[in-house]
Amino acid sequence: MAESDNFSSTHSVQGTYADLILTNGRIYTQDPANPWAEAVAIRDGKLIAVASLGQIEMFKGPNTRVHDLQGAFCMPGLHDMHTHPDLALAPRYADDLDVGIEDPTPEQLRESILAYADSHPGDGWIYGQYWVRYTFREAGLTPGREWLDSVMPDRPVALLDRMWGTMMVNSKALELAGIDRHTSDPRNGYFERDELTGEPTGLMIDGAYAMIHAAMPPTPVSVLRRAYRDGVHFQSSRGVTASKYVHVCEQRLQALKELDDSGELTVRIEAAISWQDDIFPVRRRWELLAGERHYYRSARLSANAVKFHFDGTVEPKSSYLLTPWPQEKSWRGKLNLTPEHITDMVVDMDRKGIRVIAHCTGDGASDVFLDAVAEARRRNGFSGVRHQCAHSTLLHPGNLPRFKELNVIAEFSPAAWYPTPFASGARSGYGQERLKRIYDFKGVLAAGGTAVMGTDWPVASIDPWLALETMITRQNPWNDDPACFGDPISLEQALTVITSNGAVAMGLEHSTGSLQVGKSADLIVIDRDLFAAPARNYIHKTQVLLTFVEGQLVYDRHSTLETVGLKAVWQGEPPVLEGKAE
Amino acid sequence: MTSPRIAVTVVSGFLGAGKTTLLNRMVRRAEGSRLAVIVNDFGELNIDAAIVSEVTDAVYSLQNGCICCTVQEDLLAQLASLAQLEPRLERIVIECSGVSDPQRIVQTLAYPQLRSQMQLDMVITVVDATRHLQLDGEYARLARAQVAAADLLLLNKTDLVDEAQLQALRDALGARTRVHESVQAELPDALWLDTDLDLEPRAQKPLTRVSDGDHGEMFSSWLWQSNAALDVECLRGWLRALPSDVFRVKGLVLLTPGSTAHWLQHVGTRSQFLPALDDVRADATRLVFIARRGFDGWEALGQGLEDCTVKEVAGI
Repeated sequence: MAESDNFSSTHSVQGTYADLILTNGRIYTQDPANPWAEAVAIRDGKLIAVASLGQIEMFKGPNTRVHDLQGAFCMPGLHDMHTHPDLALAPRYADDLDVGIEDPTPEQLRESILAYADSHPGDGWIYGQYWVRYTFREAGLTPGREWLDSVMPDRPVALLDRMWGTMMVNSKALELAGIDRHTSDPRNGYFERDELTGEPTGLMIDGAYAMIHAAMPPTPVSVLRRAYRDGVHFQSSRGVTASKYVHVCEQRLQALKELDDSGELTVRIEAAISWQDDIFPVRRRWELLAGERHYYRSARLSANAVKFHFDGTVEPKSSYLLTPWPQEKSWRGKLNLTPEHITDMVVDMDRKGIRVIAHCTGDGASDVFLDAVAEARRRNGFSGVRHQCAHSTLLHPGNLPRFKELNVIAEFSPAAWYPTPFASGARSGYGQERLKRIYDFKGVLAAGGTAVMGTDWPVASIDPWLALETMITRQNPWNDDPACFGDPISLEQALTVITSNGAVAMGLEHSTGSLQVGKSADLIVIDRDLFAAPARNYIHKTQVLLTFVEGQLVYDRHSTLETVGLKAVWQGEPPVLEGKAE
Repeated sequence: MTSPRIAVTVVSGFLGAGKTTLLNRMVRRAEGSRLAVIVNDFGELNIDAAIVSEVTDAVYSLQNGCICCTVQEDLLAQLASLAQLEPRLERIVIECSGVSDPQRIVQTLAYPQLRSQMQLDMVITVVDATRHLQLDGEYARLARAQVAAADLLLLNKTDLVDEAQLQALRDALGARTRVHESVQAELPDALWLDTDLDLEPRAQKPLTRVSDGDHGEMFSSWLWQSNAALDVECLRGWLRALPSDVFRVKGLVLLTPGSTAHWLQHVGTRSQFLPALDDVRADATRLVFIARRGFDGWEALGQGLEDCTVKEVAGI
């Protein structure tokens, strides 16, 4: 017989004793009234005691499992409040055309397309990589729809070039995407046209890729499921118990639900539905937002959030600033949506109980976003929903107290909060004055606001320990370069950011984020005492030994608890998802 | 000037091929004209203090009227701000990094935001005659990309190789490419500056010699004129078949249907058409060809164009 459901409600029957006791640990509880403990007792997924060795004995019954931590460091689980395992991994797992030659000749490319079509029969899209321009030029050919039509006239084809600047598509692809000489160019790219007729030549440049992607079928649920499965596997084995997957669609929610149903969603996930189609098209967005999202709901999965891109990024100077960019007379960057659009949207979502997560890198974007939340509070009162300012790369000093006043979460992503060759180059675009107050954890915390961390993988590493260490050092974690970006915070503050503040950002502050009686047993056991050595080059090397979510053992590095009859969902070394970040 | 847009010259080539020598020549040659040079590194360029009049952030203003700045990450924004300069620039020369594919810059120049303000005039790739054939792996691929993106190859340091090596290079670079051979990156003005293009109507004859390569010039040019409009596809076929001794074709063409007037610019193997509706001279087709001195295919080229005319449609 299949395993029974075992939900708890007001009158469900409760045992007297603990199911599991973890004893003899150095337990950092994140509970100000009781900051350190030696043992915890867990029953029905909840903490029924966080206590000393002596006090814990009374919870031990005849069927209680007891595990001796042998002095190991135990703490609440980590919260990664902004990341994208699907965007990082799904492209690797998709069965797209891979020509597999460094610089294929047009003839080799033709053979590769035909072979793929043979092995993938039907009339579906042929999508893949790579071609190069110079082999066409050398062969006296012009890349574009005319050539591609001669190879494959009746199935849509889209191929990327090796330098990632151009996508070559055939006439069928253009037709399905509805692109002809009357179509306008996107803001962040263009499609090449015949100068005399205006007809598209089949070469899509930069941001014009999205026009083709919009016409393609969504990434299959099976591919997304594999990507999320590897994502939560990694996160559980690195001690993450709650995370936000920012940008989902119906397919992505389905993949997450399948993982949840199969018992493999080992991290509490808040999934934010994309407000725009700029990363992937979101079909049936309005049905999801109207209420269909509730079908995916469980203790592990919630889709009560939306995500939108408000401004751009530093590299193309599209972050929206309050004053002009360095060396510019008037250029302040760009907002993708009008302030009025955002205001009405925040007011509406807020009323529905949906959290709005706004990508704001420039201080101008977050200023407008906070204004929109202020208007929502004025019209709706406090709905109980805390909206989230994502990245918060630059914040105007006058906005620091507004995070507390308006109940808005300030989320910071570690992509460039410490010096690396990438960060130093890219972020220096903001100018020296702005760089000093970049990623201002300290300012938000000092003003009483809730600051959280989001790894934003694949923009930065998905490893939360790297983020934790560099919050405290704001220095390069791999060398002894004294350079420091922005203001560091203390270890205690950083632990608050990555545990209990994360729970607030999830709307789960009453059930997780600290080790307190009555809260869910979301906790981790690690291989070192975080307080025992200076943070630099120490914290990011932390190994996680055990991870529990809702009292369930989800990760057991050395399969230690098998001796008491508990088998974890994941065991062994964390999976390798990325190259060394250095 | 034949177009209100700023002409852009892109210079590519490997480190050590002679790009900087060429850029120094261009800066010197540009005396009095409004030229901006975007380089990778000031240190490389021979700009001594005497000719620098003002330095602000990343921009050097030179006393001969040129300005000079370094390539920033966002070329699009940089070019857009250069386009705003007053008095207006006549030409921008962009030096590509030695290890980059100039196609990236070519694509940037075609952005809608820039198209109305500037026009890619030509991509010049400087090829090091002593090293080109020795490159391998990723460098060889990069060199092929640089050669393929070029409208003109400046085959440099030809004095350091023998005739057999030179011939091997010519063979390797392909028959379709326009190649100019040099020793110290000398680039004749006729190949990169078009200020002296003379489009004045001539008497009677459809084909007139404009300059014949006297006075030590290495190129001669001819003007072809007709009141008839040209069939577009026929003209494109004619352009594709141009012999490699012809480096440039430039002028006004009337195209069917409707005899609409366009500026045509053809460099190497690349053609660009721009509407010229408001131009007062746009009442006839007038094209100037520039070819290597000694080229003798003028009559055939003229005949080819004659074959493209669509007389019954002209003027409607």
